[in-house]
Amino acid sequence: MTVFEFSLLLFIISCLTGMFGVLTGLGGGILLVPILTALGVNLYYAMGASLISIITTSLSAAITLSGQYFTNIKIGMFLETGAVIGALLGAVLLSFLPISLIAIVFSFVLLFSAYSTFTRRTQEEDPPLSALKLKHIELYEYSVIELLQGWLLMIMGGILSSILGVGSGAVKVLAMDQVLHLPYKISTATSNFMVGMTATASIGVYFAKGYIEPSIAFPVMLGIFLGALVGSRILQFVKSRSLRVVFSILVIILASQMFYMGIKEIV
Amino acid sequence: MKTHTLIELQNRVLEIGVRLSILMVFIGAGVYLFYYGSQPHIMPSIVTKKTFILEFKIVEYGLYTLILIQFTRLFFVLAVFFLKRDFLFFSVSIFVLGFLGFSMFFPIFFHTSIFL
Repeated sequence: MTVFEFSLLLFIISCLTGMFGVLTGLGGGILLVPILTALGVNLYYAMGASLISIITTSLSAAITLSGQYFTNIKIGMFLETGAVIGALLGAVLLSFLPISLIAIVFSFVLLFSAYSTFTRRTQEEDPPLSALKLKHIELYEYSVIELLQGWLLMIMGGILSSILGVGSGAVKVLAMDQVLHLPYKISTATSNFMVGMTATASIGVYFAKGYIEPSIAFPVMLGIFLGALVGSRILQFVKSRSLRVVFSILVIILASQMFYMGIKEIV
Repeated sequence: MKTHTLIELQNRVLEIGVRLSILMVFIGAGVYLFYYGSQPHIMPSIVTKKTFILEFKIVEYGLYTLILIQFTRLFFVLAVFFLKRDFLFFSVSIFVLGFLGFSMFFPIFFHTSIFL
């Protein structure tokens, strides 16, 4: 395989991952890392490329979503204090954790993501943000409960983000939706605002350690960006329920593969 | 300056920043593929000695631009809280920005043994 063919392969895979990440709500990083490792890319390089793609999609989505006033900046900033502390702790842990343990933890996080995606409310009950064409802004009051529990979950999300190279959007949405009882749309938009910042807090160590390999990062970044763009455009036309079932199964397969990789490293 | 004007300005800066970053990565990648595209691919490994070529530097600067834009976004958040005289959340944002700066730049510039 030539350099061009390999880059093209990564670009196409990242494109599809970005698109289905948006359509299923799983996000790009959580799917991308196991797929890249299955292709033979070193786990650390895969995680570094994934963090880059998260920052790209978070910023791109911020431009699209900013006019819709769903993001609760105050809650986002407060919870982000926990996430950045967690990201810093994770960065320290990254130096000590063996790659086998990282792979095993990743497989469990994948299983959790598959479960949360599978059990999520259907699109009909909860239309996607991009499908909403607001003609006027309606004031909608909501309150927040169990803030401390949510904050502690954010620390966990931050640690996972650093040691696994993911945005841990699933943990953030779970904390805001289930623990803080925020409306679902507010949770997803605020989570998107936060994942970019958490990934930025995690990425310093990856740069310093040389885990951002440009030959892998560039096709992934460009592919995920294009894929997420296409995904957000076609989101309103796709019935996501069956797609989620298929992708939950795919994620379970990827989780098994990551678990096997981790166990193989130990043995 | 009204806050919604500031948010408009933020969106403009984000848009230009993301486009610039993608353009830089695209140019670096394009030149790299032009010169090295037909060579056989060797899977980069952690133990492989790194070769620093100009094309990859352009890609890296593109990625740094992306991170810089993320920081700029936070400065806009700070400015919004400041204009709204919401000093509690202004302080919270300062804390996040400080931690982000620390985690981003400390390991890169100082190569501290805690991280490396």
